[in-house]
Amino acid sequence: MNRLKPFRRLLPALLLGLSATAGVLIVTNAVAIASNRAETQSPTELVAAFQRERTANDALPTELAAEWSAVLGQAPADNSAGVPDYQQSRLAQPGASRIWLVPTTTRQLCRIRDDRSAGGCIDSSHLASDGIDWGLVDSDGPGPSPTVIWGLVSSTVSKISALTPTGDDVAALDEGAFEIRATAFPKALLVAKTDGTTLRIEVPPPPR
Amino acid sequence: MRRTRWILGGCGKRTVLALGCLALLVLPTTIAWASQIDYKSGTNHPGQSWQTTGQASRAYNQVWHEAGKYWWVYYVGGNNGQTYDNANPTHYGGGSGGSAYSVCANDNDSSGVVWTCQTTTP
Repeated sequence: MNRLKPFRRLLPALLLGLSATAGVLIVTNAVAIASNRAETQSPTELVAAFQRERTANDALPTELAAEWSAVLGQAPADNSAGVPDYQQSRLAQPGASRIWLVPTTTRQLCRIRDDRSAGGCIDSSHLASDGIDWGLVDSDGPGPSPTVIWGLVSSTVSKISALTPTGDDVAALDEGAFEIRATAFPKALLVAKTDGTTLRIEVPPPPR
Repeated sequence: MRRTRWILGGCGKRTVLALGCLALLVLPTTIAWASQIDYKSGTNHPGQSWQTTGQASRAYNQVWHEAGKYWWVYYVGGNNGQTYDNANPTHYGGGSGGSAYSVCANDNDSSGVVWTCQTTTP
């Protein structure tokens, strides 16, 4: 009995240590589960066009589907965006542009423009964290043609504008897709949220 | 001559014409895809860019990479067309409108996933 005495003294410290370890493990697990959920969330859960029923108007033209099947079919194994499900496509028309959104088997979302200037498939990382997934395309680089800033936003965004040396250009927004035809190369994007906050995103200068 | 007549007679001129038209439709697409080249592949190196060894008329310029990481693709020469995004692929679908180098530039991809820059040659 006397032999157990030193252990009795240590018992509270032992219990405290075990509780602390269990607590750390629970918190770590919860963070891992939360971050894993964010990574595997489909962009379709965040974009307005997918919160309504699909109509015949949403169908992607056959020739564009064939072109993008060819592009995506040649992806290196490390970078595959999955197989597009054209039966789930949605059409958004911000401004004068037509952009089809096509989910894939790897929970990515392909954005296909009717002018064929740009396109590709995105995961949900930027939409989930910032409420916006954006890119730009310019048919003449530093030339006089407008720089097109385009992309998708989640329901947490109410307005997007581009800050350029000549002023602010406000985005046309339709069903979660947006587009800005900027009169000059933008310095930054301002993303106004429905909660009243504004996110500023710096646009990097072209690397040339 | 007799053989040719047999072919035209046996299969029918319409069939030959249809096959010819089909070839005209399919061949340009096949040639376009066959001329795709990988001009650089690697991992990481954000802040760096790579270009083709020579100038040529290009049909498109793109880079496959980890989705969510930002890349530029652009032409130096021709119409200087460019695009910047985090999509996979980052794809500039417009032609170069003249002889140009294709360039891909890694903005923030340090994912460790292999990236591949592709364009076309005539």
